[in-house]
Amino acid sequence: MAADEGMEDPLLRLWREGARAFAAMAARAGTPAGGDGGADPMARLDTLSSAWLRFLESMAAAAGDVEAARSSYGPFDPAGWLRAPGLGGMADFWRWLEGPAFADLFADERRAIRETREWLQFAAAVEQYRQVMARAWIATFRRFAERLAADDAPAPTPASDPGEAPGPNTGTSSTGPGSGAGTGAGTGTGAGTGTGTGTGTGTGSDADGTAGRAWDIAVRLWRDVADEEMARVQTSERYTKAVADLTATHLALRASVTARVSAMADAVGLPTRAEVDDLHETIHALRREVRQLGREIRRAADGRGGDRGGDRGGDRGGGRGGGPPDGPEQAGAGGSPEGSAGGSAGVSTGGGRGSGQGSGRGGGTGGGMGGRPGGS
Amino acid sequence: MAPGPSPGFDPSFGLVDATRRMIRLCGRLSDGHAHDTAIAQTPADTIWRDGKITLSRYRPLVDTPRLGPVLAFQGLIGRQTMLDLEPGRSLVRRLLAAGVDLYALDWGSPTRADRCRDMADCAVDTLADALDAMLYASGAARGVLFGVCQGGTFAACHAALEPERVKGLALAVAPIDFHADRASATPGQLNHWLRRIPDGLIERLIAQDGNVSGTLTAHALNALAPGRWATRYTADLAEIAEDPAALQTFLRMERWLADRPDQPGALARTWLVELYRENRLVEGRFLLDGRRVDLGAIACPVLNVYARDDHIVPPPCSTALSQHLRNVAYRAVEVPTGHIGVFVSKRAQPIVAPAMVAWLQHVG
Repeated sequence: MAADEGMEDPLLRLWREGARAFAAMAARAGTPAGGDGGADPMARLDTLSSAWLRFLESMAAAAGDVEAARSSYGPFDPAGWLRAPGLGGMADFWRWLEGPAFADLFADERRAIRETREWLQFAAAVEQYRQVMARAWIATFRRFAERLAADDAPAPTPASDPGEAPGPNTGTSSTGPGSGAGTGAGTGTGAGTGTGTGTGTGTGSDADGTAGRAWDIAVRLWRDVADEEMARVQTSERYTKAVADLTATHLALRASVTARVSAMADAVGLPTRAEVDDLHETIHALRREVRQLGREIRRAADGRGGDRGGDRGGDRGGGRGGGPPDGPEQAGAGGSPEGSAGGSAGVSTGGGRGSGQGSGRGGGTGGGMGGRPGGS
Repeated sequence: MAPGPSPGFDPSFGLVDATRRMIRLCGRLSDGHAHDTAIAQTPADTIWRDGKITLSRYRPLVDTPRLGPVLAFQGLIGRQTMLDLEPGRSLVRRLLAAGVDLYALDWGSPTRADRCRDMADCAVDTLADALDAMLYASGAARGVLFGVCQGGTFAACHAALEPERVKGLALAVAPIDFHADRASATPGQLNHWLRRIPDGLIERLIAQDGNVSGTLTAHALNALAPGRWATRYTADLAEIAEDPAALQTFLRMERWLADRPDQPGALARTWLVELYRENRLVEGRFLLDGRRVDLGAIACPVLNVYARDDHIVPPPCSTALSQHLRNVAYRAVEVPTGHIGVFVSKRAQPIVAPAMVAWLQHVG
């Protein structure tokens, strides 16, 4: 560093430090396959990060207190956007911005600030997730290239059989070298297809069609490498954190949007999500009661049964069956298939699962299937 | 003379061939056969209904079915229709042909209005009602429960809580010990991830959405094997372009995959938190209907079918059941496929149905 640099404006000096770091990075990145930069995107990213860190450290050094400087610049570091409150991240900044809560003052303003914060946190979480996935995919392609160069590709296998190769949840066994002979005959799309395609279409394949299938072999290799790499990534801390942050910030944002829409709906007399949910909960509780009452009735009619115990106050025991069927389509005789709660909504919802003292005021529901379990 | 390319050298790396196949595939997809993808076509009659839930009885393929009755059902993660994907890949048809009196329970398509439906509703009440209806229709005093995947967990819980009318318990790719994968060299990705996400996040998700959508479930399962997902509609599809039958099977699988119901919120909460995260079932802390589920109370013969290469329900999570049974006949059958391959792959066809029939003959 030149002797007269101490006379520079501190801001200018910081800028010069940063510029030097970026210039060095650019020089390294421009060297094909050279140094630790090269044309590798990951190496370039690392170099960029190093340059940024160096820039921050030079600013911290200028401030005389490295830790304090790092903390104070945390809000401008994307990595700090998701920090918990008290760690110098954006959470602290927003807490300061939102200020203390008052009952009747600035409520709308605080809500708007909070929603803005949630948008930004969601955006940061999306970016974090993208970075994790980008690293994973870059690692995948790197490993793919290595294995391809090492001639480590799997041998050609017969065409996929549903339930064994393609699909999200169908298995992993059919792509290995050992599985070809076992599945070929069964699928009807196996080795025979491979040979026929190679020779029949005249793509320059050799006698056994293998060269003509080189593309398929490469695709299979890529698929296997990708799944191996993703399995590794998905068990990592950074992936778990990225997905958890993404989900949590998305939920927070959606909750705010829902609250705002609900407030608007309420203002003009439209039913809100919460009201409809309450209704569903009530209906569900009533249906449980009806089902339980139906069983009690059938048990009484049969003169047998026994308390099943449990907090539903049930009476499963031996009290099933008995009467004649109502026919092949056994919808509830007294109500719709959904079980219409004839009583007033909100009656005895608390008793639905508990003591069985829910009083049956939801009468007229779709039970009544003779000896059959009721279609409440 | 300068060395030239070998006779089999393909300068395009097979890309030309792959492109031609893709073009032919486009032609195949536009013809009529590609649109004939109906699944679950074995004739059946609805014999009981509770709201969206239906119980159907398959029409027999033999004069006098002598095995069963068997109540088959999936959980609410997928649809039981994959038991009857197409005539050549139909566990249903094979069982019917062997003389099984077979019934299928369909949970319908839950909406947010069903978000309060919990695991006790499904595994205790609905199964009890469906069992009632099946026993009445068949005239039998006891029946066999055949639960698939989440349905297998339902079936095990029901057989433990109400063993009187269950004469046999058949499970397929069913998780019982949700942490058993920890001891294996490759932990289940789904199990591992669900165990490690922060407390309360699942509850928040369910509280906000009401249910866990089928779309989200599909996304999560696809993410377990993204390479496979990415090649499903490209390389895999192009590979079967020359084979109309294989293409049709592929499209039928797509149809089944697209029909993924939502998980009711209350059920999903129990499933993901109390079972996947807390593993309460095998620890003796799992309550349904206020009663503790003791797997040792299962009092009937058990058949446990699991997939050797299952990356959704790792085999140890299924086979752990045997450690929790007491003095009942237990038979395990390993199928060399993935999760759904147990039912739809060609390789599984000569394994699963014969094993079930042999076991049913033993059960009586």
